[in-house]
Amino acid sequence: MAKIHYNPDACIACNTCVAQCPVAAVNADFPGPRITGPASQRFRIMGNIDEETLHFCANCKNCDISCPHNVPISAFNMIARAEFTKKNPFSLRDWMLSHGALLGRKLGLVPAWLRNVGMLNPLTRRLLDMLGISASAPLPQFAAQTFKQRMRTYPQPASQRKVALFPGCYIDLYDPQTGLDLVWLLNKAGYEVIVPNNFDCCGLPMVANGFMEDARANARSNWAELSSWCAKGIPVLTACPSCNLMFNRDLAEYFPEIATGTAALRDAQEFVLECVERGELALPAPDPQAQPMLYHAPCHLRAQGLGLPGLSLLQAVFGKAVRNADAGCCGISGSYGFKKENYGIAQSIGQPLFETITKSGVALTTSECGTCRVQIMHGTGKPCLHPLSLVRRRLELQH
Amino acid sequence: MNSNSDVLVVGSGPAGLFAALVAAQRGKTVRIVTQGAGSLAICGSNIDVLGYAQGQRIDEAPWAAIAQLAPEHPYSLVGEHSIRSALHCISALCAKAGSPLSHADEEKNTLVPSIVGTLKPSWLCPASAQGNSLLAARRVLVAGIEGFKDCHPALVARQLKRYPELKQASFQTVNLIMPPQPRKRTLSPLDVARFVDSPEGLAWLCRSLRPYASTADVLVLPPVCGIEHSGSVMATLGKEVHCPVVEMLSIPPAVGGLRLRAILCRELAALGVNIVENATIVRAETAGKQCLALISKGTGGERRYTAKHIIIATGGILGGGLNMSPTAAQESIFGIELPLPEVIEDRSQEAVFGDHYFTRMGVQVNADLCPVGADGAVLFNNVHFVGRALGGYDYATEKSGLGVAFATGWAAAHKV
Repeated sequence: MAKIHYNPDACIACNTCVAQCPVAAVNADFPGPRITGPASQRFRIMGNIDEETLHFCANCKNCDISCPHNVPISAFNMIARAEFTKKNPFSLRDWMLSHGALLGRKLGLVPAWLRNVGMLNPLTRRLLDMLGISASAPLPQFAAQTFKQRMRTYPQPASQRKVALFPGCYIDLYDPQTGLDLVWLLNKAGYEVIVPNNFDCCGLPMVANGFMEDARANARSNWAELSSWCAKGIPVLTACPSCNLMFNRDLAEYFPEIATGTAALRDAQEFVLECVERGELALPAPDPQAQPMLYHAPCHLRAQGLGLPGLSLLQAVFGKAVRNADAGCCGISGSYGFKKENYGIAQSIGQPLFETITKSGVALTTSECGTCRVQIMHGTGKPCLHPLSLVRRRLELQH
Repeated sequence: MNSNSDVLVVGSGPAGLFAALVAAQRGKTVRIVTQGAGSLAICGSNIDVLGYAQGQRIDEAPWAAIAQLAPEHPYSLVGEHSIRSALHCISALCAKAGSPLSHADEEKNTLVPSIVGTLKPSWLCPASAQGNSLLAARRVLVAGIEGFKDCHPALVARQLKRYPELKQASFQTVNLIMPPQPRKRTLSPLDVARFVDSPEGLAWLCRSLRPYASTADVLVLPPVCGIEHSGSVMATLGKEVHCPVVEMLSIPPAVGGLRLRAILCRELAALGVNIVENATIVRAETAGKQCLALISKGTGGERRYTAKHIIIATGGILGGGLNMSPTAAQESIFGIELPLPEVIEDRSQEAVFGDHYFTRMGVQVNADLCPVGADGAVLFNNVHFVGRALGGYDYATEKSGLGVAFATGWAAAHKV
């Protein structure tokens, strides 16, 4: 592994990240991002560090978002976690939680209902609980057919204008409908959608669980694939904020030797907004009868410096019926909140968001991130859909 | 991606958030683009206006001293009306949010104690401070929290006694004991304030303070009276403890600024102001004396933000609004050159609280807060600078930080 030495001294110890860290806010054992990140980095450089609190970091990126000096705080934590994982006994639980795409492929021959019975029955949940996956955590269900399978037979009008899609594991394995809703919108805007076969998991769950070398292997093939499409002038989109963050920000921090050139993944919501701006997609006027709904901004989207294009789209078609919940992190942070030792932390972090939603009385919530949606449904009992699905519904209703 | 609004604000510290809010209240569409969470996440909630001038503490109302400030001072540029209006506006906002601010007396600065036992002249304080009740007290209780290592009540008491105002007072000290919690982290006021935000935490604080109500005229505490619910915490303390409570100023991670930040952000969300977080402005597109757009860098490429008016609230050297190297100093977005004494020794003075060049260094502006060059000519007609990016004042020695931030934020929002 190439050594990357970011300068921890860019941190002036202002403590802004400590005040903004969702984990530190609910857990008094976590010293906070300033300590585990830049402050500990100085000791790591000297090879003298005790990492007993590093596991608390959820990799939610609120430290990076709040830092006035662009210190890569979460990257310090994740690179340190990779070293820690190498030196410590292999965790089957962490491997399973971070290799969902591979598991999905291996289990691909087993029908989804059987997989779901196999994974979600009380006995398996007890076994998983023994492995360290909380029996209370809301494990998502496998879809009957993956998004990639559905797309093989999905009829699309041919078009000269093409975009490629990086579905991400969540949409591919658990939530193909959101992917199809995006394809529907893109077709409507006059684009033909290609789903390349050679993309694999973006690798973010691997990084978050300390499997840096597996993430590097995925990054290498993913980046080559992305670059080939970009070179052809075909934009590659994703509807998943975490995949987008991994490709466009994290890869450069962890694997600068791989993330070279000008290739970039694009936020699908922003691309759809641009379609509207270019006149390729007409949106109906805001629906005055729309039922009130709350939008949750995923932390991994907020970390990207591109604003909240999904919310802008929703506001364009639902007007004031949609509001930003603006109640902080949901707590799940990908695989973090599924772990037995983190489940309680994740629920405490999400509490203000759950309360905001419950008190508002809305019947519907919306967010781009798959695991945020799982967590919101778990914490509030209310449905949570991807903004693109709601935009599609609105457009269909109009006709 | 191209985004347009009436007003584009860069920065989300006190000046930026407040300017955005006032502009939105005036019916403008506003977008905020920011890198970092701004200094409110680490500062207190006492709003100083002017605590010192020419090294002398100002005990009376600061208005006379403000009238004497140099013409390039931000207060001189925006005028007393803007300062008073800004303070009125932020007071009304905090009152509406249930966390009222108060000050001792229309004619006086309020002296607020710090966790090292100094007194700082301030103007608006959280209502728990109840003005100058510390100075009027004969019997003072200084309470610390067991485990909060930065506040030692005995030291605070000894230091406070040095002030002539408190010579006659008698002091008791105590360390309150928080209910045991598993904890590997050193305790900070932020931890205690978050606990006090909960019903059990509030009950604990009331229970811990009540015994002292009969033996003290005032209870002096670190800033622990809640964050989200600070207004109701203070109201409950008033009802349950029957003794005025004064919060000391503390160090980051601070509590007071987070209260103000929560209030401002909630109001901005209600007004529909969008905040683009973690975005760095990389350059400006200009034509003559107009700024046409600011370009930010985020994932997936650059984004272009256009607006009729642009308010720059990027802060000073610590906030990233000003860059300084051994040979040059520049404003960070437009690259406005700031004059710098050639000899490095001339940029500061030996005395820590002396009249340093670097602490006053910043963008020079006209009465519309538009940047001007060395010759006094306007650089951009639709760009307004607010807060610490401005030159001509030294918030640390004057004690004018939040005062200038809010006054210039208010003034800029009225120029758009």
